Amino acid sequence: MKIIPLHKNDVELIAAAIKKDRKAQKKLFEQYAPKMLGVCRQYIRCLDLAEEVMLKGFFKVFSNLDSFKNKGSFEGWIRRIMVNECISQLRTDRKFQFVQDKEIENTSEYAIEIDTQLEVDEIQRLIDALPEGYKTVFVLYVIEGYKHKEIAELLQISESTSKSQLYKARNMLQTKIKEQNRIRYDAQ
Amino acid sequence: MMRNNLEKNIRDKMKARELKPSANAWDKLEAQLDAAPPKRKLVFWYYAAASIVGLMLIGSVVYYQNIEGQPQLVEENVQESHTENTIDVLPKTLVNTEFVVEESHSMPPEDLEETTREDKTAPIQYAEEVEQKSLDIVSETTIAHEDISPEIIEAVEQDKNYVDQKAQEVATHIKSLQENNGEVTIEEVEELLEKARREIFLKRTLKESQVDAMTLLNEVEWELDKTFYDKVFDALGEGFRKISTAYTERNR
Repeated sequence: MKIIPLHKNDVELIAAAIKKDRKAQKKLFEQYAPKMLGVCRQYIRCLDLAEEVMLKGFFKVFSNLDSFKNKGSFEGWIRRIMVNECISQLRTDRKFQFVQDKEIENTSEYAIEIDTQLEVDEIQRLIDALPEGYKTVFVLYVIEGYKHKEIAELLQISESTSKSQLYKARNMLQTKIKEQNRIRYDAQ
Repeated sequence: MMRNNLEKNIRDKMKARELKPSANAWDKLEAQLDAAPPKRKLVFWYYAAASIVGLMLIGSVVYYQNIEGQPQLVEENVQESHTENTIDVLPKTLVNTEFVVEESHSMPPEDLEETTREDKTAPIQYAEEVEQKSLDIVSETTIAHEDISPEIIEAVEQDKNYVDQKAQEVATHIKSLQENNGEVTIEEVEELLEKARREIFLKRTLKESQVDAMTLLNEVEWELDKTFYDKVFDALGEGFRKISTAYTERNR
């Protein structure tokens, strides 16, 4: 994850927001909310629920802003809070079902072998179609850049489960993309 | 690089993606922030809760210490009553300890010096302690006898008087035999004593509500205590020392 240096304006806004300055808080919210809603939407299909979870995340951001202390990326910090909030929401809704039937080894080198450019909406549709467990591990690993160890801790599963979930998610995505390409080719 | 292209494409596009929140999103958040109590107040309440818990802990410790104090008193009482009940057991323990001392005496002389010095003092001390305890217990039990009903005391008193009376009778009889016949044989004395014994036994048995076959069988075994014979010979006086000595010799 890239470390983005804090803009001078951000430092001042954060300092003011710690002192419960509503205007500063609103500015920070307007600046980061669209991106964070995008993050939450990756995990939660329903946009309204995704926004609700995002608001819970921002409430925690502003309640614990004094613990940020301007170290590292502010966006990265907020993003982690959002991811945690999404996971706890999925856990509350009992969305996690990790099929532990067959553990797959040596999955780390494997990646989807299709050189296709997809648009955001297409990507989101493909991700949404994945089973909950596959989807969460895939988003955490491929998009957020979490390690299997971190995913295992976050989802309270074993590292090997995380690896096999990712393997299955990639397999499923690859099959779907190929199928999509074939349909397009046929249509032409 | 080729094979990661799709995933890189997914990552870049998804990371850059922005979704516009609904128009009232900030208002909702602001309402939540306004509703939440300031953090410092929360900290205060944490301290308040912690101090209440602390006070409760101290309170419960004091409370349970008081409660624990009471059974200790009860336990002491139990021990005291236990010693009262072990009157019969105490002499046994005493006998056992004495036995140990005797055993150590039978050891070879070279071992004797060390072991007896150790073994002997300890049981003696113990015996003294036991004796003292027994005395205490005896005095306690004597006091306890005051609780016995007057009817029983009267009955015992009557029995004592009857035995004294019988002893006097036997003595008078022996004296009259001596005066009439010039001498009294040991057989005659024994016969008189046996008669008195039976009479006393019957008197005591009849006081009880029922007389069964077993009681009458026991009569053969039943013996008067030595004090009765002493009483008879005391009543006879100096002149009958010879006969009393002869009787004691015979029944030894």
